[in-house]
Amino acid sequence: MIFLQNIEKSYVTGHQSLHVLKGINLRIGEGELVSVMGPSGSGKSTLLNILGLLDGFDSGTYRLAGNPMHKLSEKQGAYYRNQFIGFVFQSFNLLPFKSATENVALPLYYQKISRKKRNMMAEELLERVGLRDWATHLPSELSGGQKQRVAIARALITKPKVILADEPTGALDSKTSEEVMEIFKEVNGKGMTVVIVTHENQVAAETKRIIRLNDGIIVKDEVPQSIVP
Amino acid sequence: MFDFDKWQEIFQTIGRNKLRTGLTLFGVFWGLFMLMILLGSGSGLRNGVMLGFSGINTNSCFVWGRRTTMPYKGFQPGRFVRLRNDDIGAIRTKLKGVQYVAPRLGRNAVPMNYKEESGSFFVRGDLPDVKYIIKEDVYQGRFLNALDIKHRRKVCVIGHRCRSVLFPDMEPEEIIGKFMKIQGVPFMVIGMFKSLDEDDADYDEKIVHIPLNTFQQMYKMGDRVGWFGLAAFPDYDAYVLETEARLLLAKRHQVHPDDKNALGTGNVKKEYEKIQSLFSGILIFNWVVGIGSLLAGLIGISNIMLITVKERTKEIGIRKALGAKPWSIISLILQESVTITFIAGFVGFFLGFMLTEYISSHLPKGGDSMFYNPEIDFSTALASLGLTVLGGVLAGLIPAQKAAAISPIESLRTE
Repeated sequence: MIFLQNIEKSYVTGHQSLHVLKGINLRIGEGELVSVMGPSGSGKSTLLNILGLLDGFDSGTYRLAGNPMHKLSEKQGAYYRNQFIGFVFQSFNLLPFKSATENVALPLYYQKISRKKRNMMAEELLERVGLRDWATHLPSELSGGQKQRVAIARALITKPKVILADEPTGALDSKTSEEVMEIFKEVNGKGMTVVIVTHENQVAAETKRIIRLNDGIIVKDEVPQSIVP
Repeated sequence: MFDFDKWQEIFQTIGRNKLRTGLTLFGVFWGLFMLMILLGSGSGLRNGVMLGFSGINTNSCFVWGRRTTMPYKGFQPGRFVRLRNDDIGAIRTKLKGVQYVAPRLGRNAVPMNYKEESGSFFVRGDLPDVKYIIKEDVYQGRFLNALDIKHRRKVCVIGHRCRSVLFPDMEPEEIIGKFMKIQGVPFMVIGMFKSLDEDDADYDEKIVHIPLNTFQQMYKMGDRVGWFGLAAFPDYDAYVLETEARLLLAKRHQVHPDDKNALGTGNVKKEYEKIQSLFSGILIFNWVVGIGSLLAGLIGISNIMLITVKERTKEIGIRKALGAKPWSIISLILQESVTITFIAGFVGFFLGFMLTEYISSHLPKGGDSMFYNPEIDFSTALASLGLTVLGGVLAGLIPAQKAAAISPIESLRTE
């Protein structure tokens, strides 16, 4: 599903150049549940941004579901983000003036799907994440866990190839973190590829594969102990 | 295509910032409103002043005889130049640009009476063509015609003032055919007129027109003419005609060509054009001021849109991450900007137009007012509204580009 070969990325700020990714080689198959771990500054956010087509890379090859993702125009990037990728963020990033349903339905707006149809699909997904009764509420009326579930529903609505989650439990307490991870596992159980960036070991431990990053390279690619039979 | 969702987005944003949007709207509203008012009052002032020209052919000039001031061909200065009937024919044949020739003789304070009613008015000996130069509304009967001249009839066309003094209790149709006395000589009334020049109506309506040759006979003036009114062809410049007529008459009366005092000349066109250009100036001024205030309003919109984009950075970042294409973001901002300007512009246009129409319909007609019938050309008004909307696009352009350039990574970075 995801194929990375020799991905390099550096940021130029003024006269200094910061080499963030120093040759990432990674293959993530369909239906995997992967966590990316590493200390801050290790390049894991940059990696996620590149995977999510929010940022470009300097050299190497990135193929998503077989499509080359090099030097995309803004328009192409927007198209692939919309069609192939579902984002879940630490700070939820819901639009505060839109109801839960409208937030979930938003990606379909950019696919020119009719209002009626996309709201129907959004309500179905909200039901799946257990928020049917909260469909008309604004994000400000929801708890953190509920907000993240709305965000996950929004990521799922386009039936993407991969879900990219950036510290999805970072703003949640351990109990709600658990609930959110359950949803990710359930989604993954239905065949969805999920990549979670986290620094929490409990979260990583619930995934099927942990990729450890340090100083711009993958230092370890392992299966969590608890799952090892 | 009508995109309901986008409209909903726009009204949602406008609704979230009612006060700010309202104040911004006011800027553009005021700009267009002022433009309408300026254009309306400009045209009102213009129409008021131009009304003074409605009684006269604006492409005409006048020539009359005076005393010479330069010796010429053996004549001493100080000789009086006497214009004559045969100058009429000379002007007609020699001057290509002249369309109508109206020679006139006049005498003021002439006693007139009808039965017991009497008064003192102005007699003018005229030819029928004078009606093309001095415009009057003959509201009853007829004006002088060729037969009146041919038969040297004792007929008269009387001004409204004269009529109301001499025939105070009679209906207009009764007066026609009655004989009144001018300097003791009976004349038949064949018509009566009102002046079209509202400013000078009091004076003009004291005039009594009689045939030129009747006048010459009555006052024993021979073939003398006091004054020539000349109307130029529409495509001929009356200003040129004025000089040509002066030179022609100078030659015919042995006047030195450079002796400008020997023949008095006047020109309505010159005056008319002076005022025309004054109003062109006022019009330009009004446009500059109006467009200026409109521009200030548009800059206000642009500013507010920039703030809006800044405030919505995160939202735009989210939209982009979810797959919003650049054009979708740009059109969102542009459409908002255009909507705001259109609503504000339309209200300003509508109220400005209405106010002008209201003033126009409640303004007294005529009188000494310098302000008359303010009007805004509807297509001009519509064009300025269109221009405002175009301005809305331009006002939204920079903010929209800023919005499209927002990087989702930057805007979504967790604080």
